[in-house]
Amino acid sequence: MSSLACALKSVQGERIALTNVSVSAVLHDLLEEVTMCQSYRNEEQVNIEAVYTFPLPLDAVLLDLEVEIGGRVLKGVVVEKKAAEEKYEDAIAAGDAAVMLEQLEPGLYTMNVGNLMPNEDATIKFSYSILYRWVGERLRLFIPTTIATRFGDSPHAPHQAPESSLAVENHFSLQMEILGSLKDAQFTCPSHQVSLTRLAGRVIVSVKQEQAAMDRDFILNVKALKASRSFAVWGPDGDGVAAVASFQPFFPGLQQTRPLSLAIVIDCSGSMQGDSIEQAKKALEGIIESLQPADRFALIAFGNSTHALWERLTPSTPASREVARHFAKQLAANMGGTEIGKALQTAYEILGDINSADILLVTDGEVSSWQPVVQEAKRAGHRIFTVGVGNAVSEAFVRELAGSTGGECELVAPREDMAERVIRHFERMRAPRAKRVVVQWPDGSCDIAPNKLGSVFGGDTVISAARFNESTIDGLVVLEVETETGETARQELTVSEVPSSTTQDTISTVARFAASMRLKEQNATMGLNTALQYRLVSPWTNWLVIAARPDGDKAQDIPAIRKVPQTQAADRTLYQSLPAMSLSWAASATAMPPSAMRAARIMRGMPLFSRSATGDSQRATSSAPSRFTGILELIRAVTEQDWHEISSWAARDRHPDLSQNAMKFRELRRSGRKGWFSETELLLGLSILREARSLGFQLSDTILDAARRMNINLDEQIDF
Amino acid sequence: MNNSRTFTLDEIAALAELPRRTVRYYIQTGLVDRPQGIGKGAYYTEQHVEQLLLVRKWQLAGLSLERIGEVLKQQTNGPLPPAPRRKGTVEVWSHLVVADGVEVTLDPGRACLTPEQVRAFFRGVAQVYEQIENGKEER
Repeated sequence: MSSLACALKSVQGERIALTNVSVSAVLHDLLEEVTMCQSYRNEEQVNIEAVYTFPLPLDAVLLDLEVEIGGRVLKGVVVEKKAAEEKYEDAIAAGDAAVMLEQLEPGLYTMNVGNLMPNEDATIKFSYSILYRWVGERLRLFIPTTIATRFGDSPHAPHQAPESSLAVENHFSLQMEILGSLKDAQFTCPSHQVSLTRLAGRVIVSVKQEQAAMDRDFILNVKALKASRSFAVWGPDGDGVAAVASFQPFFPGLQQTRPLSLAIVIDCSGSMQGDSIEQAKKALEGIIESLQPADRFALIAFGNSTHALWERLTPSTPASREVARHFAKQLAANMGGTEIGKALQTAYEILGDINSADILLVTDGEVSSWQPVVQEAKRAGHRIFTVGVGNAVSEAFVRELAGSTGGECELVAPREDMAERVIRHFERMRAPRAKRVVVQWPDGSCDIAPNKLGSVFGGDTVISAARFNESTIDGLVVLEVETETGETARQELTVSEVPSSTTQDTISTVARFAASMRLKEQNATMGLNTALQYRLVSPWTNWLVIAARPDGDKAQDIPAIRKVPQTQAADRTLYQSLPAMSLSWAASATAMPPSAMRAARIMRGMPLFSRSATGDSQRATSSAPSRFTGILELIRAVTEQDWHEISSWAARDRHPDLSQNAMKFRELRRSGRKGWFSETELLLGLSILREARSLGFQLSDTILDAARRMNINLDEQIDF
Repeated sequence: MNNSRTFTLDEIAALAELPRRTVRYYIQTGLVDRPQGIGKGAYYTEQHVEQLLLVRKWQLAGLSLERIGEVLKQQTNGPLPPAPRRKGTVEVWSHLVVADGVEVTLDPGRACLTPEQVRAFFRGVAQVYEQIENGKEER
């Protein structure tokens, strides 16, 4: 077998070197520290190099990296990028083990685990810190787990470019501890089944499934009282101290609403298929609903090509809104690639040089080369408000596009409240613009970051950092916002010392955090200095660990490469490549109201959670869908041979769709899948069995037994 | 011909003006042969340099690494077989609904069609459909 074919093996799900990811997080007030543990194992006869590209939240600041290999624990160091790459190559060539973590672009990282010997394990533990931002009374904790397929060639080196595969399912476990002021908050998890335990002084949230599929973002929504939402802290920074402040200003809205000139841009590319396009349509519904008589708007849908409903801005009248609604109804994720740059260009042309015109963009952001789009948007000068949808949104793109144009970003997962977020965007667009935004740090401050504060919206969060050459801070930090209407909002915070656990460290986490904010505005030379001084991964620095092997144990050959593929993002999985097929819902789904059933059917997805009708309750509202456990047991009882028989029978009996679907399951089984399936797959599997049975195929006794045991009615009508 | 000259990985990378990591990746994926000898005694020959330059040439011509792998494997000069579709690949297809129950799907990338050609194709299909529809009515 050629090495290329050999490398492709890993893509086909047969030899995945990444065996597990475990995430543990501690949220203290607004600062969260997340520790991720990636376990790798070489189960082959040759030495390998595992390469895994993975996402982290855009605002994550990597703090530490530690590698356990061959019984040794080695601490990572931050090294200038070129030098790190050279040292890594030298180590690989010399037959030693080496681990290198590099940042590809904001929010995207590659872990290189070189020269893992046969039967050897390596555990890589790294931690990051993140400062969350309040939006009104809501905070959204976000941990991405996979990179959805992006449109266009990857701008990264071939070993780094993420690839996703249907046949691969990576797994993770997650536990989060919440301390401090947020321990009494309300929590909702729209993405996973979680358990929530309230103990004295803390709350523990964990994903129930011990081996959850890395096929969607983990999201935890937090609601808390105003009092606990702003803070300022300081910690040691060498001879001086560094401080970070998080404000949430509120200022009165306008007396009369500001009429909008708005270009609405909707992503209808293939990647939006499934949950995302349904979300986009829901968003559009809300957007049209929010338009007022004095507004003017344009509506643009795009994929490979761009389709504008009108060539210029059109007054919002009952008639034009009706036309827009009709246009919205017909949208489908069938317009091919994601030519988002061209679509925005059309929006710029329509808006022309209209003063204070805005763009509202709904997309999953799955574009490989997104940075040029952001640059172009900056030049165009219109504010872009983004709604990032889907199960694995490209956070960096949608957030930076909004942030760098003076707009704001809302990420909305399929089971989150879309209407609320759309309304929020309209409030921002109609709000008076901030004319002057200043953060005044106490005397002695230097290195204030960001140097220039961007847009500020009432109820959103403003973060600022500073350095002091003194050993303590005396005084208040003050945010002042003056709006174009002359209103002034002022917020003062006391800067308190962070109790440090690692007292021997002269550079505190706060200091590194502050440095990471400065880094974003620095050029290569200064950035490199800052990154090295504060041990930060950046466009100019990598984390590196070299584990030298004794002479007799060195690898003798260039390692075989094993790229770790991304798990295909939820819901797009089978539906994209399989013929359209409706799913029926077990009669036991009692918690689901008819409207939700209908929506669920349209989405062809999996309503994993039935939100209680009363909205957020006191605890996590993800009610346990125990029926999935039953379906899982049933699907586990179906062997590769069973699927094969269903498939060939269906082919003979002229049911090509059924045959193909069954074949897909046979392949999943064959690729080593026995005990776990995503919920989407489970429902599809169940519907295949039902359909086959209703068409007259004799299911095996084992399957029928399992169905009886699990109380699943296989004769239920298939609901098209 | 003098084939006795040998090189290190560093040297062939420099000759091809490629980063070491990239050269190593080409070797790992079989685009370039593995070195002669093992461990510290590994070395490269002019043949390796030629292979590297060939890969570079195809890359500059716009071929993906996978496609280059296929080109290199093909011994004869005939036309290339269509690129195989890997299991687990996710493809983005454009759909055109011609009428209720009639849909055309295509992947412009694989079909090597420009957006203009795609539109022309879709227009043509729609026209043919209309003709057939009209024909039905006349009968």
